[in-house]
Amino acid sequence: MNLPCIITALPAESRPLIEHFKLQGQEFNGLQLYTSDHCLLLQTGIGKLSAASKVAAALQERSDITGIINVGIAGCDAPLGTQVVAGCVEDAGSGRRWFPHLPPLRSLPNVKSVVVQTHDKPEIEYKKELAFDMEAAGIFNAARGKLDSSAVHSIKVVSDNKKSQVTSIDKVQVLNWMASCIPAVEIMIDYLHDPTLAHVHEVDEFVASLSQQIRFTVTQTHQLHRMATQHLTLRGCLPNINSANTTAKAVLLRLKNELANMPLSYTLPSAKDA
Amino acid sequence: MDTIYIEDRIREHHRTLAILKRYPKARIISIERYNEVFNNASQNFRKQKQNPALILAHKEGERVLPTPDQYHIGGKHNYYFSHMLNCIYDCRYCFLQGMYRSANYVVFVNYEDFFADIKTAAMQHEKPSWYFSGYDCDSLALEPITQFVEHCLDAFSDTPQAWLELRTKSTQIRPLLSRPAINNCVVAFSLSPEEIVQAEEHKTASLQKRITALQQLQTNGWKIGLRFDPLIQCEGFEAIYGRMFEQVLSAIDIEAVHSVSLGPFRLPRDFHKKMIKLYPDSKLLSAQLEFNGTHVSYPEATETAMIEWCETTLLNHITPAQYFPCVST
Repeated sequence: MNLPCIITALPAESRPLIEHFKLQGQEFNGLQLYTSDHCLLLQTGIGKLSAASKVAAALQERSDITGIINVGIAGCDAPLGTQVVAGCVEDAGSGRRWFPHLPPLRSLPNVKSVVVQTHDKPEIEYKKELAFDMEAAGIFNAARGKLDSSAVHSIKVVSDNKKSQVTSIDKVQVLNWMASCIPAVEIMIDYLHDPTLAHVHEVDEFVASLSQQIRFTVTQTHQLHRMATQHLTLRGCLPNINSANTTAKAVLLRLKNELANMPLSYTLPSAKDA
Repeated sequence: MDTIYIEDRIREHHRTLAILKRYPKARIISIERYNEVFNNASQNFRKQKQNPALILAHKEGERVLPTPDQYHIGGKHNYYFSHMLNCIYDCRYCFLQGMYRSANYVVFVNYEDFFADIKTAAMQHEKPSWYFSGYDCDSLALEPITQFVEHCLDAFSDTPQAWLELRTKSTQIRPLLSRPAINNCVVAFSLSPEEIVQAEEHKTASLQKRITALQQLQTNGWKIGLRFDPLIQCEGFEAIYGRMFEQVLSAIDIEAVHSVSLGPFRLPRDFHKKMIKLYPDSKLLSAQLEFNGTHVSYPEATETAMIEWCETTLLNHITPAQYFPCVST
């Protein structure tokens, strides 16, 4: 199943998203997590260290998270309320960079891509095409290894600029800006959807169920998983195994023989222009 | 192209500027070296393939490399070069899916360095040497953007002892038709039965369109090559492939064909492992293959039967001198 997790730092950033996605608060091993069947929200607090440790903990506890969207406010030389998406996330301290693979332009036509640079303290040397925040690099660093570059993103809304600096940020404005981000967040959630997961999930359940009835070694479990996947792909259904009076070895042999007799079949459903 | 990464050092290169002009709305992201994006470990090839980004880079180091021993079409000295990494097509059997972590396209804009290296390599040999351009990409598919082949043909015109093979599934042959054919270039088309084109070679031109392109090239004096590669085992193999051979060979001047090769579907074991993870729902990759040392392939008897049948059929039409077996990619 696809399960995206939205990451925010502040309560004012979280509230409009919690309301919109109808999330329920949950104390989860010290994590401020808000959940539903379709999406999660994790509020990390300010700063990249806090963000990194909480995201790492959430990914450890919730292995079903399949994507991350960091949403929050940032400083940039752009009008207040402008939404931007990170084409690159940079840790100002270490210089380390991450390059999220962005969705097509047509799906986010009015959201410009920028470099999101993460600082330890608020930064006021505002620049065009550079947004300052305090969490993104921590989030990307923590997600590295668990999620790929298509599955971790950062959407920011400009909250301070040369004319209206960080000390002038107003909570009500933040709530409004975050509410305005919701369409972009929804587009990103759609983009994170991985069609292969349903296929894998179906096989996982089959293997888990059969393993409760017949004892498979670790190697045999891998073999069963692979052959069940092949069966599902080639036949359109999982194998029908009667678990009574049989062994793991016999099941695998039967599947191997069945698969050997499933040749690929190609037909011309509609002549392309032959 | 939605997103274009550009290496800082070629930001002002004339080819970079020309390519950027074609994509005024693209997101532009500066990078130091192409591999910080392209070789990153955490990438999803399948997801990226839905909207690949373009990476413009400068190729350093070795640009012209010797081919594996079995990769030749009659020449003694064989090299390959890649002005581009990855392909705009999405063929489910393609080894690039297993070889690269990223589906983004890399285009190296310093073409002249490639041509200089080819000239240097060619001068090392008394006999003609061969240069294969379609190993890590399709030679022609991105030509409207890169215009690489146009420049490449100029370079090979000046180096007659060097022979060029352009390998393609593309019908972007305008740059070839708009100039006189050169003697030392073979335009080789990868060909599969239309049934397989539709099911496995996503986004490519149909078999008939490729045949039409071959005809046009022959009419304009270009040497052509036929690459029946990879051969895919399927129900009714002989009927399906027999129909294709008939369709192709009846449409062109067979005597004038430079070379014909075929190769079975075969993948390095590691690539196959990565590919079935990416595409658990692919029928082609779910078919029964056997581990054969470092490769996976059809069972030996199956593979031999496929090749023998194709060889026998082809050799009824072409001469043994035109035929180069089992050039596997």
